Amino acid sequence: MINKDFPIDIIVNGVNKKGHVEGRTLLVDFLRDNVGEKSVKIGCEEGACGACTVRIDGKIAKSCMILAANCHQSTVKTVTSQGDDNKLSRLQQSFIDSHALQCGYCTSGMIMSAQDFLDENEGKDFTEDDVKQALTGNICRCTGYRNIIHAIFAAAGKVLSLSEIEEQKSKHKSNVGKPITRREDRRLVSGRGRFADIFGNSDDLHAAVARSTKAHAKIKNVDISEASKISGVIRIITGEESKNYWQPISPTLDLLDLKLPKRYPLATDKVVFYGEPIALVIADDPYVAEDAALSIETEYEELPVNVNVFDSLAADSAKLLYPQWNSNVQVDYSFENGRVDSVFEEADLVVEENISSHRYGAMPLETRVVRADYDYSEEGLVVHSSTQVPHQMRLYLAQVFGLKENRIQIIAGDVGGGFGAKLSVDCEFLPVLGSILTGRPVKWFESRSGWIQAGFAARDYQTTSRAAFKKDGKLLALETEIVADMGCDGAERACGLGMPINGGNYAVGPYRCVDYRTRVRCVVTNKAPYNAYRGYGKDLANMLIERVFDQAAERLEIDPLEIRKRNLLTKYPHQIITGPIIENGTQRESLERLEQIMNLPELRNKQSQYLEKGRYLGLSLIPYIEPAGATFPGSAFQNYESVNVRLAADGSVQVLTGIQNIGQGIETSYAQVAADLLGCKIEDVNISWGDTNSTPWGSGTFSSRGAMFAVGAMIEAGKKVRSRIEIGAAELLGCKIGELSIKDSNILGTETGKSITLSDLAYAVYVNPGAEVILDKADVPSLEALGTFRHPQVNWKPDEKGRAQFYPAHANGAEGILVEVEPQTGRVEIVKIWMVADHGVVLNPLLLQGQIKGGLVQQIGGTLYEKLSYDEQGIPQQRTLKEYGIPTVWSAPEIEIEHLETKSPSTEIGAKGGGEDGCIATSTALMSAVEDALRPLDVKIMSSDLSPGNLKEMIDRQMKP
Amino acid sequence: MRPAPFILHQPRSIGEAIKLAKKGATPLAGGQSLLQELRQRSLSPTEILTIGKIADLSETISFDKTALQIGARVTVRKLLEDQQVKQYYPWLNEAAGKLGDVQVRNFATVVGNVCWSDPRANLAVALLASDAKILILNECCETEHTNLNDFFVGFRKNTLGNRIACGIEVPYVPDQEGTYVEFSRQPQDLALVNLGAVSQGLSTRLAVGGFQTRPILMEIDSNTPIGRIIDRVKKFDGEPLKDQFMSYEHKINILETLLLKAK
Repeated sequence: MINKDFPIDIIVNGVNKKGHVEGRTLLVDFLRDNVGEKSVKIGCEEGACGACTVRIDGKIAKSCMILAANCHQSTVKTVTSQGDDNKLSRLQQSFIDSHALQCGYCTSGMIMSAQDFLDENEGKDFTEDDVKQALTGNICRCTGYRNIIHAIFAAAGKVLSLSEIEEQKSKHKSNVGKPITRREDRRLVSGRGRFADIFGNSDDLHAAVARSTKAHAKIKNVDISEASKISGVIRIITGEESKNYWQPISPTLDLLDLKLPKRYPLATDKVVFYGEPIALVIADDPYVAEDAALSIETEYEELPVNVNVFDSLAADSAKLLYPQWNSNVQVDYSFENGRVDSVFEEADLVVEENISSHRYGAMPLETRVVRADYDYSEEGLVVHSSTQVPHQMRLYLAQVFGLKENRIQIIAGDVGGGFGAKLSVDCEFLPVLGSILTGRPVKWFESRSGWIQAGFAARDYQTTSRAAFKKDGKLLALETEIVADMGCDGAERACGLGMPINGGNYAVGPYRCVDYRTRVRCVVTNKAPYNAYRGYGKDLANMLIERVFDQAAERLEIDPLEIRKRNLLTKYPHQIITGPIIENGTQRESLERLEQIMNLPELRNKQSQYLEKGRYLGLSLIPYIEPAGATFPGSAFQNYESVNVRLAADGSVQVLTGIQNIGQGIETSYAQVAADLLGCKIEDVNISWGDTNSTPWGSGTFSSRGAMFAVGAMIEAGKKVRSRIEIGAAELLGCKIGELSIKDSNILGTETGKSITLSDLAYAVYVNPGAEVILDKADVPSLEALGTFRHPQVNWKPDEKGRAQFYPAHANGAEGILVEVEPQTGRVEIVKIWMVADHGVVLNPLLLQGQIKGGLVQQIGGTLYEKLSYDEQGIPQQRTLKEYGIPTVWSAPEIEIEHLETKSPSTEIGAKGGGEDGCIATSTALMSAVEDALRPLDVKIMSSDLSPGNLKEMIDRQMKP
Repeated sequence: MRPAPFILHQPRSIGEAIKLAKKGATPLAGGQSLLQELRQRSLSPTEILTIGKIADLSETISFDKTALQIGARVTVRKLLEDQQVKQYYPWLNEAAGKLGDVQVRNFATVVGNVCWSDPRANLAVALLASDAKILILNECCETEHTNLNDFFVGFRKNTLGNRIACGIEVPYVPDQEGTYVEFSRQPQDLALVNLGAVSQGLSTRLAVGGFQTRPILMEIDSNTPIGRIIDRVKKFDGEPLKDQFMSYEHKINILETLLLKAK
């Protein structure tokens, strides 16, 4: 029984709000659920993320760490209080002008902390450390913090905004290429983001998940009797019962000869990981739903637990997760070309690296959120969800529930970070089932501990990389072996399985080498599922090749840069021996440019000076390729994307795309392209996305594909519309098509000097006199067209060696890092990072740099702090963001980025895709730089886990006599 | 997750609070640590009493050149901003500044941080080195003074029992000097190893966090070699603290580094 016996009477943003709450009600819940102040976000449950930051009686607080009852008669302000009369505050505008937000989920809280700092420091000088101190309690997973810091300095009038700085450098006259600030930001800085959690009504039901407390066990009994007695519980569904209502999970990947677990969203006979859903609770209150879920008692018969991937690989029948597989190997992939063994035998030098990469993952600030509303009368289902792939999600829901796809509408609003981890559907099925069974809307907001302990992980590779070299440093042959820990599954309820395979396929990287062999084994263990994460195995490929170059350079006494230059590609197109074709690029030029901007002689000199004082500086320069635009047979990751372009009767342009906005800025960069294409003002373009009922089918957002696929499709559609605009305009202006100039939404007859607006033309087509007159000579009498882009560099038909081209584009670059290492403590401090990146034509440098910075800091986090580990019983050791080690503002180093632009010959705009490269070379570069720093101590780095604990262990192990 | 149900009391008088505590209600001040555990449901007290509305529990800091008095409702922010603390107890200012973040410091209380009794809590370590006493109200509403060294008994365990803490008293000695240093994975993160040291003349009170389930206190002098200090930490009769981030030996190495910094 809920006793809401605490009166609460508070002023929220100047408005008096009254109500009654339970003693345990958190202020954040009161503000969101009772006051309707959805700008206050929830990203954790331990007061770490600061997304819920509000001002209480003048002091900023994390509203998830405050009891609502204790705020009686308080004054609360949220981000909604910023600005006046729909005008943004100076700080909000500064966030926009310096591209200080991407997904926008953290932004409400971030702005509250930043404003508090600015208020207290008005008119004062302050340092970057002061700003970092002010933002310590706010986590941003997207931006890498650098732009946020900049925005605060800019808001205080101490520096120009980043867009102003970039504008000064820009030579572009058209929209494409300009550092235009984001059009989506206005709603996001105002706390009006359309995230899935804002949807719903006060009488929605709430779902909670009862989860397994064992990692591997048979389910003997699930006792729901106590839970069912709790007032407010509407329905409890166990796994066994649920089998009547759905089919097993529809797989995200079903390619190669991989094996699928064929599991239901709720475990039925056994559990295979800690936290696996066992029962679904539907209640009329989220607190009650959680109470009931935790009251469900499950009786288990424990089975042997697989925690170590090699033990799992060698497991006997008792330790098999899925006995029908006859092993714990989900896929065993191999490729071989040339005379690998004989080349190794004949080589002057053979080096071997055994590298382990630990388990961590995407960890977006917004967990998974679903609101499902099933309507019996129409057999229709409307689902609001935080997903990167709304059309894929609809497909999976139809498969699992046997519903007609055309009766399902997925509405994916703003997504609070994806990074690959919202490409699959597993727990999302649960609230949908709840709605179908109760006939009422059901909401599910995944807890942070739920995500950390039973959500998605990535990386986690055990590898061997052997390379054969000539004395002069020429790479002769390479052999790689990867054993990757899939957790319970990397293909069905998640899609990480392609990551280690990419590692094997791309390990040769940007180097010339034809004698190559790889074997990749994806092995299941009793851990949470394995999903995509930014980098998607290209990080692993980079590590496998670059680390052998480091060792070869040392043993052959060749400079590490020189040995790379001797082997890097210089001629294009180039087919990597495993199949992918690199169209063109600047592999060598990027590295040479990096060398210049880093000023290596000066850094080496500094390194020597520091060493004399007993301090250890290290540096590295690592080339990389960024395969982009993944397409996979046996999945919905297709080689096409369709876009609809419409010129409306008022002259505004609507672009409809199945690509999902997850913070990458599609409403801006796509509008830049559309405005140039149609000759309209950028403010007249609106990019619509996220609704499966209005957008054309699209695979969605992954693998940095939007700038190629969606833009390509938009150009295709836009050209059709443009030709009809020209036909109509020529008709109206009484001139020839070739005599038209269309710019800034104005159409000029260049010979006659007469002009009309796009609006005039569109109204003439739609209304008066109508399309039959104005577009009589056009292919169709419409100002709307669908375009579909298929990347010509994709080829799924295997050649005689079994090779195909799944990735059509390959951006490239080089990354340099300077670190200082404290051998006594194991602490690594990053002094600076430099990037030279070539993504083809840059649509918007402000946005691309934002992506790179964000990726860099994510991978810094993954390498230096983040970790998902398990004890021997398969129990996760982390439950909070702090324990997990998510990087804070303090871990964002100085970053310098320079672009090269080699136009892709395969896309009309010339873009190759970008967004992942910050995650590709960073771990390798850190390993290499730390090894460089510790060279006087002769310490070899063999793990990408450079957390103080692990690095110190490596140092001690090797330095012991 | 959200907290399990509990009965919330919001007493306005000390007497009422003492009665509730005696019956087993858990005191909640700023709640910045307790709420985390309530939300994880790793702690599920049946009754909670908030002290925020008890006017007789002081929210001020006073200093009279013999001692610093910190009231039960004094926030970490207030400690951080106090000019006399900055002048006479700079190591407490240092420890407060490294605690959490702005939002946490705005609400977390100094007494609450000590009562949370995490063996690595910044202020627990810094105040232990400062020879501070915690002031506890007994059933008769009389104030008892307890040395922090007697107060901490285990991981987040102390001798408070079913009573209310009403303040901290930190002695002042004119020539004393002190320092607080810590090692954490990222700045402002949970301290994995920390130490506070307060010297008067040749003798130093050294408090070390991160090794045992309670902070370790030792008296040393300016000639005590670092190796000797390390030995005393290793030989401390208590329960070693395990954490997932690093080994015990690693922490010892870090302590050596911190001691060198502190010297």
